[in-house]
Amino acid sequence: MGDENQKKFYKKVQLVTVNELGKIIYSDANLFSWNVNDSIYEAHPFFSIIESLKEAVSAQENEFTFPCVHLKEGKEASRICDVTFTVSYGEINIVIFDYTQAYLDLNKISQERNESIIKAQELEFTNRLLIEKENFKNDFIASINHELTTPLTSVKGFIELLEKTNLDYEQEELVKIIKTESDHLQNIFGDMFDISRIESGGFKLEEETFNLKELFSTIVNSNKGPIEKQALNFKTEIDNKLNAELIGDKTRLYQIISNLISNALKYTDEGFIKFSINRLSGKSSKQQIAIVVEDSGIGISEEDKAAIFESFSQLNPNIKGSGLGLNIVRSLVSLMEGEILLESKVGVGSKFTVVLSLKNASGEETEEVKHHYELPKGKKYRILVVENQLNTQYLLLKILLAQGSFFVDAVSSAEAAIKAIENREYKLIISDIKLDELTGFQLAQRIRNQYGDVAIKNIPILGISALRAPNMTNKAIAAGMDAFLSKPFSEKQLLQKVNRLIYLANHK
Amino acid sequence: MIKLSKKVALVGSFGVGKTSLFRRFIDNEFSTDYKSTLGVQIQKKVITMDNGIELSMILWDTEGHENISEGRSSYLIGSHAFVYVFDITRIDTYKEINTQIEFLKNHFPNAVIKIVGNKLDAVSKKKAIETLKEYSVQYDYLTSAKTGDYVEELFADIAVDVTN
Repeated sequence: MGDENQKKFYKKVQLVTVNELGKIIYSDANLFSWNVNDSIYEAHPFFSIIESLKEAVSAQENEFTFPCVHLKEGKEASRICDVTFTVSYGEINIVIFDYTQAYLDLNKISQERNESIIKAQELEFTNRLLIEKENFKNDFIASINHELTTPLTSVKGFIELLEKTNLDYEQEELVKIIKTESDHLQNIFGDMFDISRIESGGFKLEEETFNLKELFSTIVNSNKGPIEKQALNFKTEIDNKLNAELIGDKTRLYQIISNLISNALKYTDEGFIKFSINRLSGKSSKQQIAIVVEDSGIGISEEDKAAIFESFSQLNPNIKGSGLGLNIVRSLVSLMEGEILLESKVGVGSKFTVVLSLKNASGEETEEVKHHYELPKGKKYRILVVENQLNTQYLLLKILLAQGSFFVDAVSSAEAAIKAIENREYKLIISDIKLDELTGFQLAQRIRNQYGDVAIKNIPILGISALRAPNMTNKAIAAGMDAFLSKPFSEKQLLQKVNRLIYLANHK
Repeated sequence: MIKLSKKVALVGSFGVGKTSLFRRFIDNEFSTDYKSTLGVQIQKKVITMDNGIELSMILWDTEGHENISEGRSSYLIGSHAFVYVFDITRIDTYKEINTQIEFLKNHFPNAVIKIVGNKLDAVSKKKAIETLKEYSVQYDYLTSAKTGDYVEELFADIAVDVTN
């Protein structure tokens, strides 16, 4: 080692010797100006470790090294040192190596490494919290939806029954208002739940064969009344070149078109609403269609065009609605891998065009369209209703008994249902899904799996529920049910399902 | 007056807030900037306790390691107490905590051990408790070096335990 290097080296090292009491008996003061006769314990709290070292010393071990210790004297910056203690009888030799710069250089690497790991781990936790919040929100919405839909089913059902009684003019008008408001409430609940599922990514489209012309007629019929009531001209048109038998999510297609027509109706005071479906192009497997809803309403300005597809967006705050309709339309169209186009001029009107590519069905008409499943007159069928909501149970009884074709028994639990089917022959079971102990799904599984008697094992089962979970129909079928109906349902929807299931069971 | 000196080592994974707790307790200061601790920094805080004891608490703020046994073993020599700190918002800093605590108990059977979840300011206490329960984490304190919540209480508790 040359003289210069030797000097540099020694400037980075300090030798200190202390006695048993910690009094400094030698110090070269190269790094720290600790003086002979000073107490090492006063020099820095680190040196209080000496007491422990004296206890730890043994015949095998009398040297202890502490790497990377921050030592500081007065207001000077810390030095980062390796400190070695050699404990021998009566005195302790301390060698202090100053490696400040080397350690600081090394620390840059560990700082970067630590920062990146910390960020990743924090992000993981944040994601976890977000997922938990999202799940809670979705569960809450699903639960509240169920709680609200169940009484609404009764309200809507009883309104339908009330409509058929002898009402005077004023009562009829009041019933119409209640009906409109409950329909509106049902739409809001539906929108809330749909948007929640779409946003959370838990929304799945169903695939079924359906007849587009039939869907077109249904939509025209259900919207004709409200549109003409507003003294608007309802123009409708369907392309004759269309292959009507398609595969897709009929319910959601209905929802898209209904939302667009409902939106047009809200913003059109005079003139017309036009609904048309056109074939754009087609192959043997697929067909591209354009669904157009046009109106002569207030129109949408350029700056509002992007905003109207956002949640809770309403051009006119006085207009009733959840403000979710067009957002749902856009999301559903996107899930169907389609496109929505908007042309509009303020004061002239708006034109929404939905372009979708749908699979062609094999050509056979759908079962529901082809058949009407009329039950033979004069014959009566016994039905078991399994429903723990007494109002809904009462509603089902009223609707079914009013047809004159059914005997109806009602129970409130799956256990009671099992007893009933063992004692009496039923042609159909209508069961709620959310029962108290065994669920409707479990009841269906038990009936399908535990009975050798085909009269029990093969009873058709119609599941009903206000639960807004995805793929309820598929879940019901998987559990052994024959069909599923969401609450709230209309009398017509219920009877269609009931008649169909009994008809098919009797024509096997 | 009885004067005692006790070594308290802060250990745990990196970035959990050991230095922040150390600075909050010693100087009542907090910084949001993260600077990874290099080696060990040692400071003394003198506490006069209710029973008249003047306790010099020698705090060793050690650099973070996910696994204590991988750290510098000399830093642990002579510790009268350990504060095992984890970050409530980073599951990786506590999911193997029982192994770490076992290591300390086995090697330092007479030392006081306090298990502390830090960064309580970053998450609701309810959520923190639920998550820790999910991972079966037994803790002594949930603290926030940022707000100072439960920091004084933690070290006061240690002071009592190491002088008993």
